[in-house]
Amino acid sequence: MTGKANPDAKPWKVMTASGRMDALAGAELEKTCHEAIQAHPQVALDLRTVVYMSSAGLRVLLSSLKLASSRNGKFVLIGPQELVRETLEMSGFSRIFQIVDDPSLLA
Amino acid sequence: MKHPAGGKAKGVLPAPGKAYGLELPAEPESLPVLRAFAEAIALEGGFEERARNHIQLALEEIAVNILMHGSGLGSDFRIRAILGPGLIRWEILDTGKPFAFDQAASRYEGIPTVEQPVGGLGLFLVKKVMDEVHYEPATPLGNRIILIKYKETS
Repeated sequence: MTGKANPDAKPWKVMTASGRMDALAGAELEKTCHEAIQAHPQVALDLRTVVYMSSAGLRVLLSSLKLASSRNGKFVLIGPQELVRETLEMSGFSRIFQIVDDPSLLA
Repeated sequence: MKHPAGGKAKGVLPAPGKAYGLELPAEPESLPVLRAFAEAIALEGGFEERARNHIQLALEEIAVNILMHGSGLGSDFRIRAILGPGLIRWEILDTGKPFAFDQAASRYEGIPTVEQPVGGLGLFLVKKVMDEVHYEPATPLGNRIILIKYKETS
């Protein structure tokens, strides 16, 4: 199969979070995400090495999605581990986020 | 999950258990201490990783609530844990202003939107991950939240 690069495709800015997305880490992560969203139309947050997420982490995700939406951009999540995925699902957040398993799947 | 012994009084242990206690200042630096305390007890009780994650999540949400809305930075809050047969019971006491727990916990209904702020998300998660949640405002010892997690049985 051969492919042709879409010249109109916007590049993705992929950021990586790791460890715990909790009340202690929330403010700094939110600042970093918002700065990236303001600089790039499409931002993906790689969650593959995040081991824990509380409501503080969820709020960071939501405020980032809100900011991206207000700028007609995208904010996508990559590869949450099982326990983090469970938190996303039971909070209902998985309904409003695009979640991909791998950065290569970003379209 | 249902209590393994069936019906019972709210938040009451079916049998005596092993007790632990901790008193912490209401400040962000207490959160990692609380986490380590909870993890050690849950491990000792033989709880699986998923249940330990639920316990950490619930305790963090309650502690953050006390930090934000309780008696203020620098005041103390107390945690008691009891490992009973097939369960762990947490009791969190603080001396802050009592609040309408159920009302706060029901502000969020599990459907986020980017248009609306999500008030009550932390308490919503607490009720999701714990098997029992009881709030008793203004007891002689302060406001008391009781959280119970049962061990999964297969």
